[in-house]
Formats: sequence, C-alpha cells, structure tokens
Amino acid sequence: MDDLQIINLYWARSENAILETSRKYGPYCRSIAYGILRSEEDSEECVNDTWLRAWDAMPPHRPASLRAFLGRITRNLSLNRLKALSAEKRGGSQVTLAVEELGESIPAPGGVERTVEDRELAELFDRFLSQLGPEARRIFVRRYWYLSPIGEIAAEYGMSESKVKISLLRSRGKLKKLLEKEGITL
Amino acid sequence: MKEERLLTVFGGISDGYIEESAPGRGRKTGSVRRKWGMLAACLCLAAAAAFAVLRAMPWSAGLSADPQDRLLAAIRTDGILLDAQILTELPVMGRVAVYEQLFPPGYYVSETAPPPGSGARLEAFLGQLFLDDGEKVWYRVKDMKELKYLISRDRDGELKLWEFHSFVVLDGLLARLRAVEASEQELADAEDAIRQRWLDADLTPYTYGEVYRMVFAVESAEDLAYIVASPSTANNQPLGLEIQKQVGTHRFNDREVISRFYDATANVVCFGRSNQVGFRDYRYSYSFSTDAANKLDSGEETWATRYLRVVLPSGTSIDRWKYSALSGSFYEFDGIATEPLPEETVSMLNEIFGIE
Repeated sequence: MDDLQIINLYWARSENAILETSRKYGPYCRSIAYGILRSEEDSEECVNDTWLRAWDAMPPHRPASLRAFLGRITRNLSLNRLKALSAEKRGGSQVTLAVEELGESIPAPGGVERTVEDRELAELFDRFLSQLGPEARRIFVRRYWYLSPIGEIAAEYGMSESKVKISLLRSRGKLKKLLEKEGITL
Repeated sequence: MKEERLLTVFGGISDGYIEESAPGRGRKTGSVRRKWGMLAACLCLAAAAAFAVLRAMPWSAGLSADPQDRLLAAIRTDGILLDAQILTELPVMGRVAVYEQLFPPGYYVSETAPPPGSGARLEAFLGQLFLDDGEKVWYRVKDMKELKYLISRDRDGELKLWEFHSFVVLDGLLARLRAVEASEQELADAEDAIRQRWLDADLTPYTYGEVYRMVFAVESAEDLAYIVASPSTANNQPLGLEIQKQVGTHRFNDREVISRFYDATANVVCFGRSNQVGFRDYRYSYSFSTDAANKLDSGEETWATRYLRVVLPSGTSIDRWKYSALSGSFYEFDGIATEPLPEETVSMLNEIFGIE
C-alpha cells in the first residue's frame, strides 16, 4: 500500500491504518528502536507507541514523508525510553558511543559565543549536511540519526570499518568548524 | 549534557536526509520502490519484492517437538523472526497460491537481499518434491503434512523458506491497481497478463474453508486442536494496557466452541490482497461503545479485537487472523480482506470471545 493510501486510512480513522503502517514500516521503525535500545521488548513498545502517536497526529497532520515522520517519532520515543532505562544500565551502547563521538564536534569555550534554540541548531545541521558529499552525508546520518553500528554501515555501503570511521571523523571536524564559525555554544 | 543535546536535536534534520539514509538503501537491488506500473508487472512475475515486514511471532522461543517450531527456529534470530514481503505465486490445486518469503538471520531491514548461504540450515527440513516451476524447485517441509510452509531451491542452490499468504483473486488485484490510479488500458493489460499466465486457474474469491482444506489439510472442526485468542496490542497507552490485561489471553479447548468457530470461519469469503474493504463503517454497537470517533484511543478497538491462533493437532498453527467486532469481520495482515459476517455469526463469536 502506498503512503498516501495509508495516510488516508488514518484520516478515515480506519482500523487498518495501524495494521498497514505496521506492515510497511514495522521493520524500519523497529530497526531504529532496536539500534538505540538493544532490547526487543523495549523496541516493541516504542514501535507500538509510535503507531499510537501517528494515530493521534493524523489528522490533522499530513506528513510529506511518512517514513521520516514515523522514524522521527520512533527515534524520539526510543531516546526518551533510553533515558528512563539508563539507571538500570540497560541498552544504549551505540547511543553512548555516538554521544561521545559527537562530543568531539563541540567547540572549546572561548571567542564570541552565543546560545541557540533547538530549531536553529537543527537548521544548522541541515546546512552542514547539505555541504557534505552524498556518501559522507549518508554515513553521518546513519551513525547519528539511525545510531547504526559502524560495522553495519560498513557492510551496507560496501566499505571497510576504518573508512567509515575516517569519513565520520572528517564530517565531525567539519561540523565543529561550522559551529565555531557560527560562534555557537551549546 | 551538550553531547546529548546535539544527538537529540539532530533528530530534527530534514526528511530528505532521513529518507536517503534509511537502512537498506545503501545497496542497489533493482527491485525496490516500484511505482504502480511495476506493481502491475509484479502480478505476472514469479516474485514481487515490495517492502519488508518484521513480525514478532506469537509462539515462544522454547524448544518444541512440533515441526513448525523447529523449522522456524532454524531461521530465527534472537527470538524474532524476520520476514519480508517478497511474494511468489504457485499453482496449488486449481488455484494460484501466494507465498511470502521468510528471512534468515542477518537480514534485518527492507530492500536488501539476504546474505548468500544463509538458508543452509533449511537443508535438514527438505521434504518431498512439490513442484518444479523452471526457476525454482519447491519442496514440502519434512514431517509436515500442511502446505503452510514450502522450501524452494534456486538454480544456484540457495534455499529459501516461504509461508502461505493468500490465494490470488483477480478482482482483488485489479482493485489494488485501481487504488494506485491505473488507467483502464493498464487494468486490461494486467488482467490479460494474469489470465494468460494462469489459464485454467480459479481466480474468483475463495472461502476460508478452501484454505483450511488445501493449505492446512483441515477438513472439519475435528482437525482443529484448540484456539487461542488474545487482545489487540495496538494501544499500549495505560488505558489500552489495562484493557489488554482485562481481556487476557484465552485458550479454547471446548469441542463445541471449536466447532462453532470452524463453521463461522469456513464460510468466510476472502478477497485476497485487496484494498476493497479499506473504509468500512463500524457496524455494531455495544455496551462499551462511546461516541469517540477515535476507537483506538477510546479503548473500544482493544475491547473488540482478538488476535487469533488456531492450532492443529500437528502443532502447526494458523496465526494470521484477527477478528474485529467493530466491523463484524475477520481480517489478516497485509490487507487481506474478507466479507463482513452475518449478524448472528458476529453475535456468536462475540459470545465466545466475551465481547459485549
């Protein structure tokens, strides 16, 4: 079923909306949730909650990209759940690593600095991504949006793990420069 | 923490970047994101790759003597069975059966081919030769009399596991094409291609009794061992979870109940993969009904839906069916539509499942 039909099912409040969404985007959302939580049970709950959020949002929302819309909800729910689980030391090794890696992009204090709202920062991320080459961009998004392990990215893109790491290192360096250039502090 | 904020805010990047980097899009398989024209072509092809699904299977991962459990354990990973909607069509007893490929470990996301050699563990499950369609040789599963699962061997020797999905219904396929705005000419071409490919096959709507008989070797209620009904898990908010808890999972062993269930299901008319019944009105009112348009949030959907698992004496199960008292009909994964049930059948099923 194509995305427009699925969105129409939500607007019609059809019970098939969630069924068809789960059918088409279940693996996609589950891979995002599992990548973050590393727990089938927790991932399952986040994915189920994603369908419910989608049900709440449509109508009035009509997402331009259903895949990205659902993926974004799953990612947010999974990261929130991870915070709740962190006290129990469950899951999240990829997130921990990704957080540490991203930390390298944060400029050191000094110079002219300003704080920014999340929205502005997201726009800056978009600008940063637009300046990367297609391959480097996909690798960066896979690592820090989908939180995929390095090995998985390397396998999918047919390259060595070290090449993925180098690509990420260079991209993080570019992000750091951009943040510095904009004088942004976090 | 600053690093965490970066990670969180990175979630707000544009849709396009999320789309282009989705898992499974790193490799080009040449068989993805088909537009409707490709869909029409798929109807005539042996295999159609559309999108992938992942389903947590309802049975436990524990060791079992049942052939079905052992078979699935051979391709299970971490308690989750990965399956993808790669479909193929096979002639089965005068009809055209649609089978769906189940995937082995290592295959996680849509739109990529499973790794070569990953079906090797299926070798031990090869049963009698079922069919040689020129592209693949098809085998029954050893020690399993039902046709729920088949194993194929490609020309290069690769083994794949398939599960019965539905029978082809011409009107259902054409409805799917209409739903993606195919022109009259394109519809006529698709119908022509399907009829030419399956010259003598019955492509009319079928009853579930035919599925019972042809796929599951079930001739009467006596061939069903027991039925398990569990609540819908679509609503996992506090209210939904509370209702799920109240509804609970029930196993029905009573022969009278099984007999009534069999009679109700054997006569259900199925339309195969069809979008025809996508926008049904809620047909019944119950004591728990509210005025809420959102039947999921109101809890009614959870009250009124049962996920069903019908288990045969061999241990093989029929587990794709769901029953909705809201629409008074059965339905299956992937939009397999069925004719709404007569009111007296709905009442009888509601009584069995305690929906009131």
